[in-house]
Amino acid sequence: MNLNPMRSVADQVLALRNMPVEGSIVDLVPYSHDHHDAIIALRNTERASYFLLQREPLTVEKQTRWFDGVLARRDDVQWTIMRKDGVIVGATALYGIAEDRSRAEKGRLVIDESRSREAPYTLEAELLLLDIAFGMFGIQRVETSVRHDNGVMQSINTRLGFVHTHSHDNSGVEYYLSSLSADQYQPAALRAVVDAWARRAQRPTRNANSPADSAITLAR
Amino acid sequence: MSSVTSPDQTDAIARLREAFTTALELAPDADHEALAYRETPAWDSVAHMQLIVAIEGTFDVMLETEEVLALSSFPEARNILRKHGIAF
Repeated sequence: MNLNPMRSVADQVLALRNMPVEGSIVDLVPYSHDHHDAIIALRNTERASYFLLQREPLTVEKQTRWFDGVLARRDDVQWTIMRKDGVIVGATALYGIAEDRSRAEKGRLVIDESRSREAPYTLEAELLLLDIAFGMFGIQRVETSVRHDNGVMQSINTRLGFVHTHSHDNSGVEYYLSSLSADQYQPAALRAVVDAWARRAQRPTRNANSPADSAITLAR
Repeated sequence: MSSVTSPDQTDAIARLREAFTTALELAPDADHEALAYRETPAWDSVAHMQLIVAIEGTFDVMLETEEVLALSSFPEARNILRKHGIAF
């Protein structure tokens, strides 16, 4: 499938919705209705609800409506973060992708807290997403918005190179906006951490029957 | 009862401190004994992965998954490394 940057953002978004992006530890698998139950369970935890400003529990009906809205847009890619053995460990997204490629936003990140220390799931998912943003789309600047008291996520963003730019109000809650430009994205040291983990153990292929050309493997 | 710390033990503590300082990007005068996963803001899940790689490289050990999950403080790191034959 062609992800040539000469194609429109909309075409690239549609292409990404039809193929997984392969990493060493996890894959970014296009979100589908089949993933609702797993992601709802992660989103409905007390911690995720608090930091994602989710004031009432998600249901399959709500999630279905929301995801149909995502599919109707052409500037929004939603992924499920999946271990190589098929276990869903989280979700993430790149959205608000400007047609002129000047900016996009990353967010909606949720990780299974019970598994967050097993391996660098969060780190590799973030690196894969930023590789897509800067490498495939040619985005000039990625922004992200984090609740003011979410020190852990702010710390992760700082490690990725994000710089706080300003604060804004989101339904009465202060959020910090941070930004990372393409020329400031320096993933080599963090990628080395993922590579070190990948060498720790042999991991089975998530789906041995998948044709090799049905997934994107990002150069690392 | 008094205890005596050997040069090797002192060196091991210094190297473990350095691994924490580098991975968690701590100030040189940080109180390592008080560090705790997720309670110390800089010790997020990404830093944890960097820390494990740093500890394994520093002490030439391979931690088990259970140990990776259990490593949630500086004293606990010492305890885990003792099981790998590192003297503190």
